[in-house]
Amino acid sequence: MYIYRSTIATLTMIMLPVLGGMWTLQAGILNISQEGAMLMAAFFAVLGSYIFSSFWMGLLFAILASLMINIIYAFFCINLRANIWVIGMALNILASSLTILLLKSVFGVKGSFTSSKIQQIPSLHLGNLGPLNAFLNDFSLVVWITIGLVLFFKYVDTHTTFGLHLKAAGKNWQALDTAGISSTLIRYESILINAVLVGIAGAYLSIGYLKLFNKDMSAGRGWIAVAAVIFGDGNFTWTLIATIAFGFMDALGISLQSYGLNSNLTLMFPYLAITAALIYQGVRSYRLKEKG
Amino acid sequence: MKKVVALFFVTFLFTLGMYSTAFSAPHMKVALVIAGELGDKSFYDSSYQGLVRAEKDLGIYAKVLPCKTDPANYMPQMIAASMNFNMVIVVGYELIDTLKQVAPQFPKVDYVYIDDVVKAGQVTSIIFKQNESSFMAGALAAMLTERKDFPMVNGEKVIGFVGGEDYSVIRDFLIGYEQGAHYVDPEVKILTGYVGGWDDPATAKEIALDQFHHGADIIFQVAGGSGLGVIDAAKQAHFWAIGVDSPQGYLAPNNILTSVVKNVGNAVYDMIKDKLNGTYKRGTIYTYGISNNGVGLSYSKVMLKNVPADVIRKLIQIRTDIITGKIKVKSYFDRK
Repeated sequence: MYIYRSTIATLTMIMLPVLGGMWTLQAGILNISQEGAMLMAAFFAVLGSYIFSSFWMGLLFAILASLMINIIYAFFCINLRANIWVIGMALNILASSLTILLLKSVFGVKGSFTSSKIQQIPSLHLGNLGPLNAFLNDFSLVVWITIGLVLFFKYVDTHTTFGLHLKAAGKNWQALDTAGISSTLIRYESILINAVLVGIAGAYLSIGYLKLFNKDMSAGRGWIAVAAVIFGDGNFTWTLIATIAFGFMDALGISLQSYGLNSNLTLMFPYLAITAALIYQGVRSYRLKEKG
Repeated sequence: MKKVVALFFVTFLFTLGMYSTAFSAPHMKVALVIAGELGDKSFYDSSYQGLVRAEKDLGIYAKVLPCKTDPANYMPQMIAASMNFNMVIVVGYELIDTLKQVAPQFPKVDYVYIDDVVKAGQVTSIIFKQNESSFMAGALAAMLTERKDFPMVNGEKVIGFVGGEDYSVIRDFLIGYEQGAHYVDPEVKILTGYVGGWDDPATAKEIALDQFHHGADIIFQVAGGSGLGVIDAAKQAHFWAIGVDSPQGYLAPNNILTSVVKNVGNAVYDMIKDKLNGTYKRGTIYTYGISNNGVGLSYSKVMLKNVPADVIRKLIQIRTDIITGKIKVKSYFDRK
């Protein structure tokens, strides 16, 4: 039963960057700076929460840090038309090193930092719900925000002109520009929205789920999100399915270890799922090309 | 003419340099080559403390050469250490291959490798019997998990183990832990989990919480930075954690029973002292176990506060039994 809660926790950390990344992909930019932005956000969440003893300030700091990485990424990719892999990798490596440097210069420690002055993002206790207690109670505020955002994104994706503009900016930006709507602006908007979401995800990692910062603690979650986005290819439903599958496989891998399964096997689960999904998608798009 | 002057000048400087090193010879020069950087609050720092202590007490000249986990630094740092120092102490498994290549080229230099056996010419290896200290941790966990009046334990005879990655030294920790727990009560069940990385506290926390929901109320973590996630889980879900490498009680004074420590610094200090006394043996293996305080539990304030006195007395009895050979602790390395 615990696997349900475990899945929700894992899922939240990757769902937010997936939602943001899906929109930037729709607008024509695959955002691969997620890992770096998440790590920076995680560090600044701890910093903000530590200085002001308030998780709101932690969230704010995290979003600002994530914005910084995302704006650099957007400027290079949209305005300067740089290779996304070059600038994305540069930002990811920068974030990894910069957080270590800041950890040492701000807190005077290396490797990790924790303090009782850090205020955690609270969990919501909804009162006694009887049999639903295990399903609904004591989840972090961020979990509920995420659920709300998923619904909101679904609505915007299918029911608003903004959703259409995003897709137009990705599929045929000349047409969008001709219609008098700046595709550059749309792309920037998608990146800024992504930055906010990744910022929240980073804050959830360091001051929501945990209460500490450790170097490189994002541990590949940004990349899993990128994989889910690539798999979904801008399609809301498929992206969502991929994310839930990855999150569940991760939690399943952890849970099966307690039953004595070899860790080398179980730790492969999420990555096996991603590989299988991407192979499936590759075959599918190849067949579509052959037909068309 | 210019060339001749320059050549003369260079030769002069070179000879001067040679003499200056010759004049300062009375101090033994020791280099500590580490694969990562100082500041890990664990292995590197502990060896550095031993070096600093030796510098103060024994009047040697000591220097740390960090490689910052960059493979491009391994060879240059190792050669620099070998050319300029009498004794080179190497910490970090990443450096084993480099050490094997460099050591035969400098037959006059003494090499000490810490925490594994390196068979290469004059290299002396130091190994720690983490299985012995883990045995005590296992015994401690087993005694407390079935204790009736002890806070935060449930009725189930289940304890947990969270490792960073699944490899030999970590398995050695586990094997001692399991044997120690079964020594107290063969019925105790040990749940094991591996994070798959040393810097992923979130996954470590999930593993710990999962084990907690399977009945584990005392969890031993050997997972570096990831291990902090286990301690965080212990604070949140109210169970006990056992720390590793250095005394970690200060991280959660109400949730940490004890820490399984490795006194790397003592080993470094002893090697330098032996060398000065002339008792240092080249190309051998020194073992640091419970008997010579190379490993053990941290009998810190936190431990004395959290662990009942009669349990501590039993632990001391177990320690004596291990030293006298009454208890034979299994090791993962025996199978090799």
